[in-house]
Amino acid sequence: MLACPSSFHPRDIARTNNRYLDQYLAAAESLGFRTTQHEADPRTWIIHGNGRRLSVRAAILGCNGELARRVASDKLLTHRVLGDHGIPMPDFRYFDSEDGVANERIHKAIDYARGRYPVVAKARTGLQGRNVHANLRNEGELREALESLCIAGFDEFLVEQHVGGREYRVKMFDDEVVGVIEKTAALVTGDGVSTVRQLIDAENRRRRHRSLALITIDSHVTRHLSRSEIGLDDRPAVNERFALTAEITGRYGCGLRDVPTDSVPAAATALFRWVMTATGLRWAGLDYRCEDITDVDQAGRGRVIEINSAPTPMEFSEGLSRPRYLQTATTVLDRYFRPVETNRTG
Amino acid sequence: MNEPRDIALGDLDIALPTASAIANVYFHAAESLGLEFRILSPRHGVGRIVSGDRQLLVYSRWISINDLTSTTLCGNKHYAAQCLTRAGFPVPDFALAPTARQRRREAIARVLVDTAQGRYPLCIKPVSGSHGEGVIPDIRDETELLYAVFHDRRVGRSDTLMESQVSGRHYRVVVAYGDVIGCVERSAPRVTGDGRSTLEELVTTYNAGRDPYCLEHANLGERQRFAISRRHGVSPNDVVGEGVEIILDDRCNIKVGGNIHHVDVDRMSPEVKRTCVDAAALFDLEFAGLDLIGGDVLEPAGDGFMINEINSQPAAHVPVPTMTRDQRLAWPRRLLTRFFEL
Repeated sequence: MLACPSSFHPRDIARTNNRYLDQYLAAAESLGFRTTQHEADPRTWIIHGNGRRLSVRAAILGCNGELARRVASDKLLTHRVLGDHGIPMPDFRYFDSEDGVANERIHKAIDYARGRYPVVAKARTGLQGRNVHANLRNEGELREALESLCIAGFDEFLVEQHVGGREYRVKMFDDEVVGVIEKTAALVTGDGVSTVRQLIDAENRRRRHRSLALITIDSHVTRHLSRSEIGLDDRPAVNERFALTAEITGRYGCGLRDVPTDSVPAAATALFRWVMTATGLRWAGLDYRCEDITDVDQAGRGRVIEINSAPTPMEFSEGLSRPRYLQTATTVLDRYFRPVETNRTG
Repeated sequence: MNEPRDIALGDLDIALPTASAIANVYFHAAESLGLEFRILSPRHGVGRIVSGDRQLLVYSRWISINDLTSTTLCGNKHYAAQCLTRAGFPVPDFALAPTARQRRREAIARVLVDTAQGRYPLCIKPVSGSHGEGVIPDIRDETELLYAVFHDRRVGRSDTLMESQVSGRHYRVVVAYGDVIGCVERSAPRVTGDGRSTLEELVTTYNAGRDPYCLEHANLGERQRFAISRRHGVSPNDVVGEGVEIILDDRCNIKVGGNIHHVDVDRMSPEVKRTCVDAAALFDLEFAGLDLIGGDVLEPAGDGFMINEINSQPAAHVPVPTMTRDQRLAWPRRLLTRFFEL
């Protein structure tokens, strides 16, 4: 754990209304690079260094190619492109209009999933865990998930194997691991008095005060709780801890644990480099599932779940110091503007 | 999207590896250079061309060359026009009409009419967009402008760039790695009367010569009928006099039924080439398509021309009746040669 107690708060470096953009701008300043606002699009900034330019808009860094970004945001293409390089991903099948109208498609997906549970249902396109239903354990849950995708207009979807183990977000710049975060499902702890809803409200008040990601109560949360036979109006016992969703994403206020990058074994690093080569991305966040990313025997045996072409440099968590908060953004900019020949191929 | 087919298509007599006509051009170019390629998704036009430790990803019309910063720098047509003007490049006179903030058609019309004062004839285009979508050229008066606003819902959705109409020949010049690697002349869809056929019949004949797999048809839509009626006094059911040429759409895009004709880059004016290369460099684009309007690009100094647009992801040329296979594959081949350092 690199975090140390400090009074640092992201608003201390705020220049815009986006904290990820603020991280890049503060990192650029610390490196002595000039920053300017894009004249036609004030939400985009340009960082100037060593005779080169780099655009930043929210968490979107301009060093990635347009095509690589499209591949990363399209889960089918991600499978195809990584699969072509033999990168381990969950087994999957893709369903679209070729499989008939929505009902037929759902029927075929259920047939496919037979004997494969638990599975994940996800729309072909989507960001930040939206339209992803994880850890579906039976036909009823899968049908419900697929119907909700189709109702929401996502009639192209994938059904894939749910991979067990821990979930990590590995941040890569070119061939270097510049950050690793272990993500855990959002948890609350009972006090014997408050209802689940009140516990979530209290947790969100605490998080809001510290500018942390909030927990959203939606169908994913209620479905996950009902599986555990917990209702939003139940009053969990003292010290009873339980997860709120099966989906581990920032949207549901997942827990984050900083993992030292030098603890990632070479086998896993080689795999992550191969992902970067396959996609042509220069800066990416890889969602990776394995038993333990720091274990030499386990680290290389995981599955790449998804790729994010605009990862957040660093999520703020309690006790994080300013240097650590800016470390990833600083490393990325330093590598990008380093005056050497870089490979921009796809 | 059509399924991949193994057919003879015009002068193209080899298998079509994917359903994307544009992606196929890159794969055919790779094949002709002896480069290895793998199709990753035939239905979506995705594949990878490889040579040694280098690889180029292709997805329909996109190839993995430019980065987002370059795309961002030139992605807004108003900003691009401003940058080009400041740097001394020839561009049409332009003004920005802030239509995005307006909700009602009447308000959009008012903003456009106010901005258009003293600028006719003009062309309007959304500040971001491609394939000529939302572009309405050759608006000659307020009546035509109002017609565009109230008959095309795309007008005014985003801010609108208003440019003075430039007449002349239309070219697409392709630049890669500091060099002009390709050029085509583009022409608007047009038919010529024979004294017997109606306009509609002439358009049907025109479209019959375009393979629907890769060439969009010219469309006699409401706006086109309105413009033809005003310019030529002809409606779709009227017989078009012998030798009378009717321009069906003022745009030159393939997407609206236009055609392209090969231009030999080796014969292009060095001044035009230098201007195009410098304009691409202004936006850090390693691969760019520049739309020029004006005189003949083969003449010294280009015979006077304007840069109408700069595109960070120019599409390869799909099979057209007006170009041979070798002509179509010429610049994709040059691009791959440069990219893979062959």
